[in-house]
Amino acid sequence: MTWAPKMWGKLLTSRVMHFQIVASAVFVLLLLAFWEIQVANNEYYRRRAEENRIKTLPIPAARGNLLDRYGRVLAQSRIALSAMIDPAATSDAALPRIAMGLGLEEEFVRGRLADASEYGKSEHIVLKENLDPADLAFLAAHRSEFQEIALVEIMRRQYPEDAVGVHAMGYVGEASKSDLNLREYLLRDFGAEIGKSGIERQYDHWLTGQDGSLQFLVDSMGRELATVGRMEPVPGRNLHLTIDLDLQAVAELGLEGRKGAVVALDPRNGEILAMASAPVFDPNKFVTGFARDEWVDLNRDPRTPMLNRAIQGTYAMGSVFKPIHGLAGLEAGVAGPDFTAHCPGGMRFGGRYFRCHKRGGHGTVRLRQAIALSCDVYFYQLGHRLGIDTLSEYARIAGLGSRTGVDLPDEVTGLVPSVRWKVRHTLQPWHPGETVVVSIGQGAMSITPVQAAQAIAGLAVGGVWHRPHLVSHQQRALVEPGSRPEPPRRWPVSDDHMAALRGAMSDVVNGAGTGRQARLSGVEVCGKTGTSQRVSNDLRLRAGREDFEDDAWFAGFAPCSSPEIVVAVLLENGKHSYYSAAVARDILQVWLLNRSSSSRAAPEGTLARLGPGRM
Amino acid sequence: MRSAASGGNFFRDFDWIMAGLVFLICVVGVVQVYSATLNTKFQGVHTDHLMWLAIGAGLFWFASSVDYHFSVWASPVLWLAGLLALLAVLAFTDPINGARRWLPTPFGFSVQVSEFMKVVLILVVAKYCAKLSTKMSGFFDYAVIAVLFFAPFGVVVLQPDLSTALSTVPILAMGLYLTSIPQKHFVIVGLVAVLLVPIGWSMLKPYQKARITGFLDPEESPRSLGYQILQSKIAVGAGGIWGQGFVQGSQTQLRFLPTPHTDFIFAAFAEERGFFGITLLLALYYLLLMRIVQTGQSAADAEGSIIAMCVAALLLFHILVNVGMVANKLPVTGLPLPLMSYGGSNLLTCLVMLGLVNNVRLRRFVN
Repeated sequence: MTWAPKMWGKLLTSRVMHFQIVASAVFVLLLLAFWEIQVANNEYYRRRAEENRIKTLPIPAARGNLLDRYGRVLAQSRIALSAMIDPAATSDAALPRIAMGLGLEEEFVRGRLADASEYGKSEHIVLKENLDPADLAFLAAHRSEFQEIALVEIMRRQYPEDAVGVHAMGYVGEASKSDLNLREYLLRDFGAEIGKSGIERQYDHWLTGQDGSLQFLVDSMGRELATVGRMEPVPGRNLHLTIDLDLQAVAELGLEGRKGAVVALDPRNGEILAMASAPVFDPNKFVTGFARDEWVDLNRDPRTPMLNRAIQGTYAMGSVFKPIHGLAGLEAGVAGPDFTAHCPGGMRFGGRYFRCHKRGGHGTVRLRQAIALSCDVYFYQLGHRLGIDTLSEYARIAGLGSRTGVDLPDEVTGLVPSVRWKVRHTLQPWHPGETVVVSIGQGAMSITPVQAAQAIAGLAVGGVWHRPHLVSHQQRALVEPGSRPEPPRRWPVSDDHMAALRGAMSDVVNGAGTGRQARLSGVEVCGKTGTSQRVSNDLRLRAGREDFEDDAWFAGFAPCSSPEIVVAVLLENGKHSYYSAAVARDILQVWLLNRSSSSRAAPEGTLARLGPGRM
Repeated sequence: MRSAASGGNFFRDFDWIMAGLVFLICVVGVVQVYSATLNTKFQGVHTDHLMWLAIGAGLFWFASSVDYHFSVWASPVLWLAGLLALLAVLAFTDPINGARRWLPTPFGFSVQVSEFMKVVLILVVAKYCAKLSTKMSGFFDYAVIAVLFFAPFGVVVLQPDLSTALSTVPILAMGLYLTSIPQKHFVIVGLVAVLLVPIGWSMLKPYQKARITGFLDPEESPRSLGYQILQSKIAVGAGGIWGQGFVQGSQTQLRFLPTPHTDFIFAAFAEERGFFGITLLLALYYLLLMRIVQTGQSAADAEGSIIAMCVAALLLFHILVNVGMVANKLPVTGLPLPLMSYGGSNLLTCLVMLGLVNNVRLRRFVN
């Protein structure tokens, strides 16, 4: 059988029609597909196209400077040319080559990206700071290949005086995961530079600026064609501290090679003029990074350099407690001129023999001599008469046993024992013998150096205890709008009692007392020494260990009649108050020099220049 | 054999409508090649494109003039020459981008032999399928067709250029479909083809598999193959209804869109001209196809019908695969868009094929 032409024509017609149907369907489907992309989802793809051609880079804001009370720079910002990576734009395959090119561990790069993604950070993050010429050459050569990498001038902290004031200032570092979970840092981004301790942390919100951003047109090779938008960064604001860099430096010099703390403040308002702790560490290391072992060494150092001893070290107060004890005796009406004690070099009480530090004894003493010569027996007897609860009441009035409220994080409270405290914590009754021990600032009572300074300061100005602070009230009103300086704690002391205590504390330094090392010509210095035991005398002598040696205290003020400065010095294992009084004297000497020189501008003048913005 | 048309008949019977449609599409192509290559290292290739168009017009005229019956008669010789050229490419040229596809010519340019082989295949299929339409088909006839088709197919696959090889399948399918094959045979062949898909998949090279999987999820692998697809989709979507305007498409002009003057020219067009523009352009293509189909239907004999219909099928397949790729509905294959994509071989091949269709139309009246 053959196909007739007629049949061919019929077949052709039907099959051509099939083709026409198929072709029509193809065109309709194609149009539908384009409708879906071009019309229905136009907005989405328009945005994607914009993201393609508009690249956004951060313009990091500088952190505010930290200045001393005369405007001298304690902490500033510097530019660090850095390589940043866009987590959204990078690919897995590129990471090993980027890491190699920048001399980084691949694991490190992956870890950074993983952390960023965990914290929902989609903008650029820093991969490497302070690029060297080799890094720059690598990035220049691979600019179109690694478009996810951008060169950005980020701002980093620099402490030009290195460790001076480090414990008060604190330090900054990149926000860690645990930092970001803190309430105060909830709004900060992964990779942000945040205050980790001290002032840097306390006033982080004030010091931190607002990053700006730069938008520019790029082509697919990553070449920047034009700038299309720029949001200027808002720099962080400067912060004036009440610190006097001169006093701070001399305080740290006095502590050099030792362990200890110094707090100097103005008793009239609580402004801290110097706060030092030793040993110190270099805060710049937290910015530029530690060598592998340095960080471990710093943390494991038995001398605990990271501890701010001024607010975090607790010590027996020793004889520095005696003026407070004397105040309690006077105010309670016990330690009047007719209250005397005979000191034969010790005293038997409740079956135990309590020695005075002077073996030969002081003979018959009244309050003035008892403070000047630091007679223990007098205070054993006075303390016994007053009882522990009266003693602890006055200790608390002087601010002991609770935080001073200094504007620094992580201050500790110390301890002032009482009958209630003893029963609560040990389920044991209070023994009268313990009162005798607390009478000379030993036993369960412990304090921080800043508490010692505050206690003596309040006493020095007649019973007004100001909250110690590093940021002046005027400045604080700007930093924390609505905050009012809380009124000082007052316990007005009569002029007679003040005269008695000042006289006694003047004798310590200027008379035949124990603090002659603090004596200065040109100003009358008052003070009280202290040597507090860390262990029993017997054990100290037998063991012969350095860290069992007595701590040495000195707390004093000047001028005696109208005090303008209080200095508290603690030397851990300082052995003798001879040394601590000398440190205090050096600080007072510099203070006196600066006070008499007219070249120094008043702190109020510096503050007047400070606006709400940058300087 | 009918005599060649005289000069007067030639101009009277010339398919001015088809030529007009082709002309419009080519103008759009030149303009888009110009826009897509502006400020790139390819800047100015639209003049090359114009040169190819001029040569193509000559070949169109030539293919219209020489009676297609002669071409069909001579097709076995052309086929043998084409196969030898393909083998020569495979044997004597150095691979470019991993494939041997280009035959150098003394004129300084290279030709992609597999493109011109499509024309030869159409003639061969017309010759032997027409035979099938006039007598009972036997196994031997199928075997001849199979050899004639799959020998060059296999060589092109070996180049390797699977896309081009596969793009010739519509020629064979259309040839067989129009002729003696009962529909049930066609169903069987279709089923076998479907069953062969998994086997074929296992034989694909990794980059070929990646092309197929890449289009299914372009976001999966940005910066690689999926990157091209994604950028194409973004370009198309950003075009919206009215387009970004001539030389205004950011994806095209900032070079996010890959190969915007060749494989992805339709995406560049869609970005700059929008849905409105692509609707008009697709309408031109559709009218062109329907015109060719009409020629096929009114042809004087089976050979003429098969030639026209095979050209229509081939064009439809190319349009579907290329535009479907741009719409992210089909894998990336590297098949050019007929008459628009920059590239001489494909353009000339298309114009020769369209010349053949015109040829069939010129000789549609049986005296």
